[in-house]
This record gives sequence, structure tokens and C-alpha cells, in this order.
Amino acid sequence: MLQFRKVEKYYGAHLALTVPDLELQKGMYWIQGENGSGKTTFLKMLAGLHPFKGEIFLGYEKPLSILKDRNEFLKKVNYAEAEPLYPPFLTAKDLVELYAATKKADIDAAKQQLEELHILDAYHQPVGTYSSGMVKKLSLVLAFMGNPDWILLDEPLITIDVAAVELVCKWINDWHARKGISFLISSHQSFADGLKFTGKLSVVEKKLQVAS
Amino acid sequence: MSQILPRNKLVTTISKIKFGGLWSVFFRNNPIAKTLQLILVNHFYQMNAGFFAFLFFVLFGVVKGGQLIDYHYSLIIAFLESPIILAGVILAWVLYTLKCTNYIIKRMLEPRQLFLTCLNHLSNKQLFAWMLLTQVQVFAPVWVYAAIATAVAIHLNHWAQAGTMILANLVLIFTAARCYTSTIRNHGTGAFLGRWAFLDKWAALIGISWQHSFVKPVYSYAILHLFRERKQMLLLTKVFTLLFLYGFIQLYEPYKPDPRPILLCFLLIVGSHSALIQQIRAFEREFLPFLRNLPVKIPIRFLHLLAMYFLLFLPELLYVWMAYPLHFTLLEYPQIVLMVLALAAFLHSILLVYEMPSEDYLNSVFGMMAVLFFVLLYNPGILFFLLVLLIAYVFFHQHIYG
Repeated sequence: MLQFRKVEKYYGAHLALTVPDLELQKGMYWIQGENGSGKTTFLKMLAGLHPFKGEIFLGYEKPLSILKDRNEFLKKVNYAEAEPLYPPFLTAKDLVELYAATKKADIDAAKQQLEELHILDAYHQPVGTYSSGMVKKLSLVLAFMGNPDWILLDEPLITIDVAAVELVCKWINDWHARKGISFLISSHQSFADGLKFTGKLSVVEKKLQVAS
Repeated sequence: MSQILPRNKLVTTISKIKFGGLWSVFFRNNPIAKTLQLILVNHFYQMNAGFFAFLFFVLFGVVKGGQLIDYHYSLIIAFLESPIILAGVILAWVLYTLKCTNYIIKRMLEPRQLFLTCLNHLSNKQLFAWMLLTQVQVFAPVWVYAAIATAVAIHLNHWAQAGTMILANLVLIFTAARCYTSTIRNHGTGAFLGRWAFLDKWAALIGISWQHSFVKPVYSYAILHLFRERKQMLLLTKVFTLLFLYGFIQLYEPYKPDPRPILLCFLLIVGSHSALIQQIRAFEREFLPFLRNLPVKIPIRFLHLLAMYFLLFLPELLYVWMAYPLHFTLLEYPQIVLMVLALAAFLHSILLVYEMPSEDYLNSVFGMMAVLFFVLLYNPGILFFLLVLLIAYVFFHQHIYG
């Protein structure tokens, strides 16, 4: 479960997003909203990328605080950016091994996923030589590494090919069904029958709301 | 290029070469020679025209015409009679070779130069000879000067120095040519893609495949970025600070060890790196936000920051041992290291909390240096720099938590 308590994000004096006191049970959630409404800001706050006012807790009995238990919290929350950017001289190997060391993840499992996405051949090549679709695929694989309770995916389907879209949807369904991992997914694209969402969230007038 | 030399003509010519002798390399109007010269050599000199203009000015523009020969004779005598200066000169040649190799390999791997793979029809000896000729041309500024210096060395009976210079030039030219040959042979395999391809080539020659075995640590990212994107700024800063340190050590002889002058030197050295620190912060902001999602404790992140700056200042921190024991005692060395790390971390941390324009940042650096100048005159001791480090940590922590 995720609990939000008086969460507000300011850029300077400008209020960018308000999250009311809210509890999200385990499940798959689709975040919707216009461009610039604050979806990415919301996900980045939750992933520890943006500081904010308020508090976010994770879990039931002994909830982890993003402020007080930041390290444990981040072990349980993985994130893939909409437009991932990595230092161009790093290789997929560098990144996979970095994530494996910090998220206590299995390197072979990640390599298996890279192979399924047909980018394992480029494992030793610098990311700077990748196409945007390859970088996106790599970022998705990194988001699935470790033992997360929640995976946050910001526009996961953009720039990747049709076969990869199907595969990513399959991973999301499988991981949710088999491992009980929850997902927060922002997307402007329709998932058609690819994903069965527990609920939808929307950001309207700088405020996060439960849509259904 | 294809308008000047049709590619099919090049391929036809290559297929006609039945002889294996190196003399064909020097055949006038040879399409291969022309192609390599136009695509690789001429382009190299065109793209580096600014660099060569600067070099020309430094070597020939700073003295009056009548004194030019004496000036260069003195320069040559200086590095013939000092092994340290000679080592520095050879290091400069190595850096120039890296520059050439980096450029030529990148150029060869450009999609538009794919037709160069037709050189694979040549035998190993022939291909190597052409690559040798290419390197001899781009390396000309070095070997011409080295040849003159060698002639002077022989004239003055400095046989060891002459031999060293000849050997260094031969090794550098042949190794670079070997890298180019390997690039042509492996073109299209994807084995050496990327901007660091030339380093792979050099490593492969001594049997190291570092892309496959070496995982870059987090604290090396920013340094690699500087090597990759801010080479000139990094080189100029390092040349300036090391020369400054060299001059200080050579010219100043204290009666007894006193750490204050050397600390003041390092204050200037850290200040000289302020623009690089700003570049590192810009790199972090653009490419490393993803690191914040990784479960790494904040003290460990801060240690990574210190490790990064230790790497950045390693040349100066090693070179300062030349001043031991005249300028500082063994127990004072940790204070020098701590000061460098604390000040660099402090400058980095204020950029984390306050994203300010370059002008404001440089004013802040100047202000900090002015204050610290007077503080250092009183030799504040190790506790003062621990306090600076603590302040940097507080800023760092504040940045993570907002």
C-alpha cells in the first residue's frame, strides 16, 4: 500500500502538484492527464528523484517512510523514465551491474529480458551508440530489476516496437499476477486489452485525483 | 569524395595490386594514397586548424624572427639535458598520438566512409603500409620536430636521448597504424563502436578487453565525462596547475617545513578547477538523475563524491610529493588532501543547492578564495577543513531531501 500525507511539490514559489491524503492499495494503476499536468512530477517524487513537502509511506504493518527510511523505500520502488538519458559512454553492462549491486538483483534475469527485447547483442556497447528505442528498452529492463513492491513506468510504450509493446505488457501482467508487484503507469496511449487496471488516477488542475 | 575519386576506381585499383612491396605506398597519383589523404589526413588538419594555429603561435610566434633558432635550440637543449622535461615532451607526443588515433578511427567508422572497407582486399602488409603512411602524415608535426631534436642530440653526443626519441616516435607511429589496420579489418562488426573506440584498440593490442571486464564505478562517471566532452578544458587546467606547482616547488625553498604556502597553492589549484566542477554538476543534472532512484545511503553517495574529486586532483596530490620533505611533513599531507576534498565538495554542494549563473558562481568562488587566503595564513589546522566538509555534507543532504 502507498500512503500520501499532505504531499505538495513546489518549483520555487510555484505550486506544481498537490496530492491529497490518499491510500493506494496493491494493484495496477493508470495515471492520466494532459501534457504538463504533473504526472511525471508525481512519479519522480515517488521514485525519490524530486524532493517535496509532505510524506509518503510504503507498506502495511511497519510502513516505510520515504524521508526516514529512504534507502529501504527505494529498494521497493523502481522507476523507468519517459525519455531515459544515461551517460553515453556507459554500456548496458555497466548499468545492469550497477542496478544489480544496489537493488540486490539478478544479472542473468536482466540479461534474459534484454535478450527477449533483442538488445543483448549491444550489451557491451556504449549507450551512446543505441537508438532511442534501445535506450527505452534498457530502461524498462532496469526498472524490473531487484525485488520491488511497486514499479513506476512513465510512458513505457513510446519509441519501442510493436513486438516490444506486447512483451512489456506481458511482463507487467505476469509480474503483477505471479509476484504481486503493483504498477503505476502513465501513458497517453491506450493499452486496449493489454493490461487490466485496478484503477485510474488523473491529474487535474495540479491535483492528483482517483478517477475510478 | 566520390565526386573527386570514384569509389569503383579505388576498388578497381586495389584489385589490380598484385605486388606486395611497400614501395607501392609511395606511388604518386595512387588513388589509395589520394583517398586516404583527402578523407583522413586533410580532414584531420582542417578540423584541428585552431589547435595547430595555437601550437604554431606558441612555437614560432612568441619570439622575434632573429631569435627563433636560438629559442628552439634552447628548448631542445632543455629536454636533452633534463630527463623529466624529456619525459614531459614524450608524454605530449603520446597525447597527440591519442588525439590522432581517436580522430582517425572515428572518421573511419562514419557511415559515409563505409567504402573504406574495400581496403580489406589488400594483404595485411599492404594495408598496414597504407595506415603507416596515414599516421606518418598526421604525426608529421611531432616527428619533424623530433627529427631535428634527434639531429641536435647526435651532434652533442646525447646518444641515449636520441635513441629514446627515435624509439618513442617509432612505437607511437607503428602502434597507431596497427590500430587503424585493425579498425579497417573489423569494420561493421560493431566491436569497436563508440567514442572510446581508440582506447579499445590500444587496450586490445596489449591483450586487454576492458569493455568486457571493467565495470566503471559510479565515482568515475564525471571524470570520464570530462575526458570525453571537456578534454581541452581538462588538459589546460591540469597543465596550468601542474606547471604552477612545479614552479612553486622549484622556486620557493623554506627554512623549515611549513604547510601554509603549499596550502595556499592548493587553494589556487582548487579555484582553477572551479569551471570543471561546474561542468561536473551540469553533467550530473543532465545525465545522472536516475542514480537518485537507487537505494544508496547518503553517506555512501557523499563518499562517492569525495572519491570522484580525489581522482580529479590525483595528479596534483601525487606531484606535490616532489615538495616532500622540504615543504611539508608526513603528518601534514592528510591536511592537504582533506583541504582539497573539502573545498571541492563545498563548491560542488553549493551548486547542488543554489543553481546559479556562471558569473555568480565564479564570483562566489573568488569570494571564497579571498576569505580562505587569510584563514590559511593562520594555519587553521585539520579541524577547520573537517568543518568545511561537514557544511558540504549538510548541503548535500539538503539537496537529496529538499
